Amino acid sequence: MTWTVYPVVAAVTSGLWGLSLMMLLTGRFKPKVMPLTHLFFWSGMLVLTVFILGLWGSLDRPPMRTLGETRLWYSFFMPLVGYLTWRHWGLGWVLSYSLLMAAVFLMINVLNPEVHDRALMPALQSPWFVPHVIVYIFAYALLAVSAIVAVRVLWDDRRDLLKPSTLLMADNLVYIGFAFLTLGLIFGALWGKEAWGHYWNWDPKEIWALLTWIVYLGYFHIRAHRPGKVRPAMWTLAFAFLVLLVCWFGVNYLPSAQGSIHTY
Amino acid sequence: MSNDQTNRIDTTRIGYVRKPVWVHPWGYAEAFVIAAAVLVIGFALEWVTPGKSLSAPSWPWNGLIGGVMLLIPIVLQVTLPKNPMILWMSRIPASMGAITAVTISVLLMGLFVQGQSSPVAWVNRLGLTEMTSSWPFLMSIAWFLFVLGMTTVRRSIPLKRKNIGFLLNHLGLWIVVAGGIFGSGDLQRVTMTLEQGQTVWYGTDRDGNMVEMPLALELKRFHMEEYPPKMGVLNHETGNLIVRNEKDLVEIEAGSTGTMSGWHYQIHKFYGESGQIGDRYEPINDYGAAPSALVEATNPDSGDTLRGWISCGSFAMKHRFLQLNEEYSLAMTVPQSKRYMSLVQLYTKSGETGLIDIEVNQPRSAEGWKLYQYSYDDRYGKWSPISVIEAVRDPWLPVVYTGFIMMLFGAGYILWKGKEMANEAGEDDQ
Repeated sequence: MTWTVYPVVAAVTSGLWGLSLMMLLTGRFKPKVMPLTHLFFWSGMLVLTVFILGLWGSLDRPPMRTLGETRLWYSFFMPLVGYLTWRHWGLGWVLSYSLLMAAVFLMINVLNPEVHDRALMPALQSPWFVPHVIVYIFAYALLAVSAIVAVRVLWDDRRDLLKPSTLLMADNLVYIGFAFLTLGLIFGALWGKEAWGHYWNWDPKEIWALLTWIVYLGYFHIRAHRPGKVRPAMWTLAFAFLVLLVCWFGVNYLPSAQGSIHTY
Repeated sequence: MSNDQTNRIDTTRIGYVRKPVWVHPWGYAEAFVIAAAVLVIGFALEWVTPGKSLSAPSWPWNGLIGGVMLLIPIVLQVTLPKNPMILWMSRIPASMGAITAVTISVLLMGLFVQGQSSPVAWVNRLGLTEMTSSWPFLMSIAWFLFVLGMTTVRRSIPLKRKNIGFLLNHLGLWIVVAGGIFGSGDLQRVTMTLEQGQTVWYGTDRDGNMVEMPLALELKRFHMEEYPPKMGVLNHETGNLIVRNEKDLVEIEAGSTGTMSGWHYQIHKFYGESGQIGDRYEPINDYGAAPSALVEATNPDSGDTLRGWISCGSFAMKHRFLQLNEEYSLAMTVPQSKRYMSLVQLYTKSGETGLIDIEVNQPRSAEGWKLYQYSYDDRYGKWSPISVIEAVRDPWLPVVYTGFIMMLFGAGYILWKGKEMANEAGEDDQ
């Protein structure tokens, strides 16, 4: 399976997720249709999974090298995080937003078609490649949801409708996301030692990954210091996601990053 | 939890009174003023000492300074545990100040091109292009390490089981940062340029100094495998390949057909290594042989069919296009490397010898050095007569890895405990 069939895959997956979303909304009034939410959701996931595995097979390397390929994984993890959040905290709106965001990323890939390129530069041929990327993209997906929740918290707080459960969810998403971010950073360091001779080279991508990590670290500390003061922490959380986006995409456009070993 | 939360929201909202700066207990205001002072003093020092880049001292001075950095928090926490200043330094506002100072210096590093001098004079003078060896960076890291040390030591006296996650993360980070910064004073990175048949026992460090090595290397063979080259349509005017979607750049394979920019093509023959004989190519495996392909292209409008060879050439052979019309040609890209490695004879001072293969991502160890496949002469590609090996010696690596392992367990702890962590991390002594 190659990128040729991708537009169809993206359309079918988004369509199924759209149906899932409709069932989720309808389910509030007609609980009977709720099982369909799950059915459509998982069907969409299945289609995407089959495509990713097929692409993996046809490329003969893990499809994690190009930005488009990382977006694919993001679209895969984002709904999973949303789904688990929904099941765990009973908050359907999180699933809605994460499905929308995943669909947007699927569309970006339709608009920026990729060349079928099996080449994997020797430095990337490492047992660290897959865990490093998967752990990072999973963290990005969690932290994206946490940013959505942060905006929601700020919105609710302004109208004095803030529920402690929403705040608790933001914290939990960041905790898990941050743990994965830490794993990604350390896996990257261990890999760097094997591939480039040192665990830390101050490469632009590394600098921005460190910045991302450190801003989330700030979030933790602000939250822990005065748990009652919500707004500064939530602004930090929303801002942290912007830093994350610079790290993921923005770095490619920064003049300071033109010599990066991480440009793709 | 939720009750507690609601109460705390109320009390802080009602009971918040603005306290003048520099009156104990200190809080965020003092933390940010100090953080700003650290950076301002750092930049001032950088300004008055232009052209001097800082580097970590080497053994034993780095070990000594590191030891002192470790001892100061312990002594302060043991002797003055009730001092309001010491208390403040062990708490979150001071930590946030230090985190902010480091964030700002790392942010500057991320925004300014590092390692090349800027055309703007003040950018250079402030050390913004060499942040890792600048005063503001090192001072903010020092302040960060100090505050982190204060917090860590405070939480370890007395040692309690419930603080295990806290200590794994904080002490782990302290060890990684201290080990990395102080270890850089003993880190040696040396490149050795190998040519077949020559034994090399010296290398060049990053400042261009010659370094004698406790080992010698002799290149037996440089070996490279490549991916098949690709074919695309070249725009004569721009000199670029036209790539709009995945059909526009295809891996060359004998027998494959398709359509590219409206032209139908068929690849009749493909040779990975070939030489030009008259007007055709034949497979040879001589030094400098290049890939070639026999292609047929049909214009869908006129039905005209063109047939000819394309080749990306090599250092020894010219490239060749198949011209389609005035504007376009079919062209072959230079193949990308799949893997490359050096087969090297190793000699050490201790008399050990052996044949080793050094490949990207698979370094070899000898005499306390790690040997990496670093580069080759890319003008010659797989025919490169030289291979560059990087030798790295980092005696502090075990220290940093200890910190990494602690942080990995710390991350596991965060995953396991989740939100309970927030309660633990809360300032119970306020």
